[in-house]
Amino acid sequence: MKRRWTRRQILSGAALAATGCVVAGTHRSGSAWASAVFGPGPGQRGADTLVCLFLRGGADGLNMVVPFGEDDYYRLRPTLAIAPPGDRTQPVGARALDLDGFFGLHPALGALLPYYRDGWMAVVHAVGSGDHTRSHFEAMATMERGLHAGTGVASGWLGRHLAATAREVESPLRAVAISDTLPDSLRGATTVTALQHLSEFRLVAPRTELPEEAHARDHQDRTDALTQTLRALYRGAGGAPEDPVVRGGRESLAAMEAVRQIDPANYRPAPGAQYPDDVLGRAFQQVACLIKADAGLEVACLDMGGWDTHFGQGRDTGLQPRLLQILGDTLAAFLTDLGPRAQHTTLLVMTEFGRRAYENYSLGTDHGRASVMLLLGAHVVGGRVHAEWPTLAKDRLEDGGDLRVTTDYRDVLAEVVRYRLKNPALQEVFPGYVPRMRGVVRPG
Amino acid sequence: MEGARRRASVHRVGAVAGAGAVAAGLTGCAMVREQVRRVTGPLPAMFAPLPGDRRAVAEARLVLQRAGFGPRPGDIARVVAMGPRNYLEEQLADRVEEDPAVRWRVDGLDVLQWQSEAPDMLFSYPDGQLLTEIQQAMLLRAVYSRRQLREALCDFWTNHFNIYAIKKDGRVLIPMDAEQVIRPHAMGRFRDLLFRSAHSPAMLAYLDNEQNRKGIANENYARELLELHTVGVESGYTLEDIQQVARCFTGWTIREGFERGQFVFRPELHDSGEKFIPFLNLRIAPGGGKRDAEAILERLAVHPATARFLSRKLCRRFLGSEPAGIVERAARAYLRHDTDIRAMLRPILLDGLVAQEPVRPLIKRPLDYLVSALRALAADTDGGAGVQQHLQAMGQPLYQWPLPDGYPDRTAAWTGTLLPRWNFALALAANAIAGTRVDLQQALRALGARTDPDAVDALIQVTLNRDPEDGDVQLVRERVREHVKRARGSGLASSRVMAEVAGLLLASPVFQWRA
Repeated sequence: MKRRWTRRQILSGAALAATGCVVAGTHRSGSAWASAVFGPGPGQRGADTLVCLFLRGGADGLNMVVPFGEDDYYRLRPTLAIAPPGDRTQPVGARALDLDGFFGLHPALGALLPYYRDGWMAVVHAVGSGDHTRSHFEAMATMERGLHAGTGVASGWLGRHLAATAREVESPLRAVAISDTLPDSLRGATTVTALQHLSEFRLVAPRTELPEEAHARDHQDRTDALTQTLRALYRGAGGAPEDPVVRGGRESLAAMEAVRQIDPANYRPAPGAQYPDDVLGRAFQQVACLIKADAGLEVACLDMGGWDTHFGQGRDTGLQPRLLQILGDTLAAFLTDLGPRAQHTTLLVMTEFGRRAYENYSLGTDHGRASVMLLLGAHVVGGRVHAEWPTLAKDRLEDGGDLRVTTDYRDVLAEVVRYRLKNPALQEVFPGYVPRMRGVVRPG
Repeated sequence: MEGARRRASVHRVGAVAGAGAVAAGLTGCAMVREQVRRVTGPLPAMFAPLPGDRRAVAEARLVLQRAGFGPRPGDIARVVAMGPRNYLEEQLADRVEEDPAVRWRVDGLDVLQWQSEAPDMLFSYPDGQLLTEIQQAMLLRAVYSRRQLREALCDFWTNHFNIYAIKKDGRVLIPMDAEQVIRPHAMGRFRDLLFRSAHSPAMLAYLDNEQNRKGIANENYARELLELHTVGVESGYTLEDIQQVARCFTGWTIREGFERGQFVFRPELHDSGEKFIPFLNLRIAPGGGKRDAEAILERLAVHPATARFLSRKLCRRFLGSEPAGIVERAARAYLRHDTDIRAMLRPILLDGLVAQEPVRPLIKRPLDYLVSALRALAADTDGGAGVQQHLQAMGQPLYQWPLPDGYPDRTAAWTGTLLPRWNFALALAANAIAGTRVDLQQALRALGARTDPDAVDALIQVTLNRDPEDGDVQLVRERVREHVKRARGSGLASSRVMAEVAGLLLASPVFQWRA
């Protein structure tokens, strides 16, 4: 499908740029300081920052992006099906939001509709892996490692991408997981950082026995003094001027300074960016903060749990709609918050598997196969649902009850790696697989 | 037998240890270990000024950094006194008497007890405890063992035959691999090491050979056996060779149920047809059963490509480069001495490390860094969660590298994670790591430091093992002195100033190198 440059998009682009000026103004000192040290960031080098959100538990793609044009959907889900956009018997808030006359967005994802209409969001449907176990653990391990299914390399697809594109000296904040442990997808690279809050990325002067307030003051003083001396030590002490450790140390000090200047503990999103007051909203604010700090971020990984909706999944209200509301609102706030930097950011939303096509007796759905992926950014082939739609006809369901996987999830990831991360070494990232380019994102 | 007797006596000590430890929330062997720690106390720290001969000190320092995890107080003086060649001969002979305090600390670990006596019991252990204890065993030995070369080689082979603890039952099976495969053969014959590794349930699980069976071959182990364990990817084998080798290994799997986790060869899963491996020019007649793969291992162990591959890799690890002459001599020694690892090491260490000057710089990986800091300050450590958290933050949690090639040695892999090193250094020197203590005052007293500049110089000797007048520490010395002046000016207590100094020295660029 052709790119659709609408008047609306041009307007919203202008609006983004306008808010961006405010943001850039606020943080100019930090950014200028950091980019002077790091040189061109991933954006300037031509690669995007990739923000990868994993929906843990197997998100129900059929209710996220509803095939309202298909009668079988309503037959299989008498209670849970989302009403078609034109169904006047239902209140507006309970009807799907029309995307292309066949698929519709769940009403709780309304915040994303403008992005879809402006060509900033692409949906890939009936996408998944070759894992048939339908076990969360197995299916997640498969996807995070970038495999077809089951056994194979134990490192992650992003870890391999990072290793394949590593330079001699890297920003310590090149790859960050907002998490207490490293996700499997990032394993296999050494310069990766897992943290729950950006403010953890700092020098820690040892604790004292002083009373709290005195300690806080003392702590700040000592941290500053130690940082000052470290900076002096890494100006070229010991070893040749080109000592890679010295250069690495300067990178670390620059990243610390960039984070300090942006002050993540008191971070204020750009005007108009309304993050939900929730773990996910806070995690995405960390990423936005990091992107604005120009601290060399190339890949960020985040998680959102709770998608294992066996019971009480809900239709337009209930468990899944609540999650979708948070998801949509967060992503929209994030893109607004980024301002002009959104131009150099690609957002990827994925899940380990979809859910059974027919609902169960507990108003929920059980583990299935195919689901959806969402891609957001200036360079996605947006405004359309990319799908080789297998239909929900009885004889087309996989193993008797699941939406069939017709697009290998690696095809989508591979396009992102090649075109947005500018890494042509797809064989290193997906060993033994030849991805089929499906035109989900644009080169350039 | 010996193991069982030891455990019985250990349990008696445990009974005596009594209520105090129980109240402290300790159980079983952890309680015994705590008791032993209290009785034996920290190992003596022999802080003393460095010998005067700077060239000899530099030589000794290099040997201790490369053929081990860096000097403890007193080590430099000892190596200077006996001469680096004699020190290396002593290490190669591997007969240095171990400090009993080390054995007590390590042998009391539950995983080590159980892996030899009833490994299937480990399946019912909490995952977290297993992961902590297998790391603890490696850390404690690296920090305390006098057989430093053996520890360096255990680390080398652990990475050469890398296994990822998080995959499948890795945590449960790794203790057996570490104690029964790597450790006993680290300085023995590579032939035996390779043979044991091929039988190691942890390896068979990690590289999926447990699923390799007739008709549905899994090539993962066969591929890495050739590419990473023996001949190397440049030796010229093809996919056909991998597939044929994989057929030979069908049926090499792991027991379920009774004796769970033990190696078993299942003839019914074995492809008993004829095989031909072009690369080895080896025809394997039908019906050989388990012998098929054993023949492969035999041939691979003595293959000239294996000799070269191992020789080059050991050179990189110990010398930081691959000097052609030494690579050649080490490879020849390996083949002439029936795959003897020590024979291969002799030219690398005695001709390469001692005689060849200067050797190429090598960065400390996080394990090298953490252990060398603990050794330099003669820290009293339990090797437990406290230090392990720091090692993880630095990027090298032990047994947790997912790829079969082991943690990288390359400098570039580690220059992006210096902040966690700095935080570790500052915390260590300030006694802010749980389960680990250092005594800087003892060091300052032993070196007779009375003034601030004296103290800085004393700590330069202790941490960097260099004469404070050495050219390559002048910048550090000057800047740390300035730090002391400023800290004093702001009224900071002497003990805190000295902790900062020691932390900064360990955080400095010089200490990041194995030189």
